[in-house]
Amino acid sequence: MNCIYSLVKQISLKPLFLLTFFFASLTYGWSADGAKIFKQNCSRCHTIGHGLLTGPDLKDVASRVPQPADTWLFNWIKNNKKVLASGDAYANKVFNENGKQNMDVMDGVISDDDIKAVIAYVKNPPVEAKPAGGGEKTETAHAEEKGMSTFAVLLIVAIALIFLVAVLGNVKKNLQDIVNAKKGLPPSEPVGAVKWASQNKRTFVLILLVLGFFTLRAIYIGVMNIGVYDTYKPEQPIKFSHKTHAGKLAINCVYCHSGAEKGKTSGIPSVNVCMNCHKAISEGPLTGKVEIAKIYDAVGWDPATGKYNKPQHPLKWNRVHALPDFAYFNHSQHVVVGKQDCKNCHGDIASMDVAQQISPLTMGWCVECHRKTEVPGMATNPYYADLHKKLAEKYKGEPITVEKMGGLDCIKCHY
Amino acid sequence: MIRNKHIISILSGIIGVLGVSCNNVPNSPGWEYMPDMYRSSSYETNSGNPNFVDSMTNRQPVAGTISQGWIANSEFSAVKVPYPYKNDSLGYELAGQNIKDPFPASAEIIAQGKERFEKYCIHCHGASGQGDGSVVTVGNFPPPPAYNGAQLKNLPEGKMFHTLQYGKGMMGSHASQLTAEERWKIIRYVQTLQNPGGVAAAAAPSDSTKKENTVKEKNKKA
Repeated sequence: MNCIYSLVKQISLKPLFLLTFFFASLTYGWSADGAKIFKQNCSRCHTIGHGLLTGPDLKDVASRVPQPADTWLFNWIKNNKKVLASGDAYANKVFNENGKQNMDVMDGVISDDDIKAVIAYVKNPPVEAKPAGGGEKTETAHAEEKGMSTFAVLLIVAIALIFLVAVLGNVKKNLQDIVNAKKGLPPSEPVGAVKWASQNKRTFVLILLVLGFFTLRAIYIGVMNIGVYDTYKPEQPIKFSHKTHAGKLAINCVYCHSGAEKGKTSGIPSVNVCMNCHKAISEGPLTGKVEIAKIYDAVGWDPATGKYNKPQHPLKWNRVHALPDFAYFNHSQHVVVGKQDCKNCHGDIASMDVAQQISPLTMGWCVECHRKTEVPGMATNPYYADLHKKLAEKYKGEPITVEKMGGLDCIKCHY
Repeated sequence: MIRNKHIISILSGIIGVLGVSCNNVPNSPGWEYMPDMYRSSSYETNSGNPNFVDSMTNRQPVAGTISQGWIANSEFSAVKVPYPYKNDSLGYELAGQNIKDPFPASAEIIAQGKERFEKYCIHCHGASGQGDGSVVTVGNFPPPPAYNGAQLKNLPEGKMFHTLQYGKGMMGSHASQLTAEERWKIIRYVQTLQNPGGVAAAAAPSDSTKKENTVKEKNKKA
């Protein structure tokens, strides 16, 4: 081992390094470096072959600009304002075509060598390997029943069959009785369950009582659940995944639902908020381009020209949490003064692909929380400071819950 | 036959219960007792509205109107009218020269700005403003330049506000999410990231240092 190690050590590493670098540059045309610089400094405005962003698509740019392309591009990247000021016809044409927005001056931001590396990269970008079956990712399977659950259907069928057997048995017995009457024979004996029931009347009544109790109980539970939607998980017009956005990408809830801190409704973000990111991201990990294209359609964005020049179509999202209109609820009150985390009512949305209602949103649920929750923002909020001081004197030492502030008064929520 | 009637009533009861429990279907909100009481006929925020061509209840303000908040909060808005500069290179330069943050760089304002920053900016710009937020690192979004890098180190506050108002490069406008006051507070915090140790340590740099920075910026352009 030692021997090999010393042998390796004896060979100067420098030529080896250069050799590797030579091959690397042969394969990528310096793009290993250029790619990194491009991503860091250029990719926020330019793509190579993926359409127009803020700046033009740089595919085949070297054949479009005045020749020699390398020199022109170098001067342009280094200080585009100088090139424009020099009266360069092509530069001014591009400037006017692209909304008269100046490109960032790169002089002093990246070195001359970096600029050369970027030019080499742009002229010769790596060919993108298309992942096999990449287009198959468009549909995520939602194995949810569209109607009643299979179990319920089976149970109903079973009950109907039992019912049918009972009716047919009865019909058979009646017919047999008629035949027997004609023949002058005594009526036939009751059969099966009916026979058993007529012989064991006490047990039969007991069973009826037990069954009756459970049936009533089930009816009660069913009736109490009318108007409670804590399993509601509607499909949305766009397969937006909260798991991707709020979970993986860690975007704060209020970035999109910015109304939660400012008003009654937390709100569905308007599509311009989607476009803050999706101008650049046209392909998602779960559904590919299909779903993101729906945003472009809604907002009237044309990815090919990079302009909002198409008709707009509002998206019809399905509302998940909907209190009845006779109950007043204000998000900002709960989020800003009450300092409630979104999770307290909405559950771990960041782990859901499709948002689902978690809390029952019944009055009992509201009241329960108001009875035990203190309002952390109240003491420091100048608007409530006086009230808080009075309450602190009234309930010495006790926690001042929402209830103590009058949070259970009918008129607080129903008016 | 009476017994049979019992059985029938029990069976129909069970079927009824099953019917009620059918509201556990993910795509349906289920039943309500008095739908006309639960859902009044008024149009709610974000609801559809057949009275408008685009079928939306939410409307844009009439062009040229100023919201009441502008008058009440005018002491906080450096420009006393709605934003006067256009979304072009000239507007960007003018904003950089002319508009100033109305809030002092006090520890309190910086803390408020930080709280806003961590909700509205951090996922792209990163906690320290290096352009390494989760949307960039995980989501493959093009990275924004670092606040303390050569491009943005000396960016005047007016240009920052212009960027938040209209967007720049890949960054979109954040005017619909953040009020002018919130944006100015964020800018105070971003300045501590532009110059780590400098502004943050002093918490309140004197006005003259800020002016110097602006003058430097102007000289650089000239």
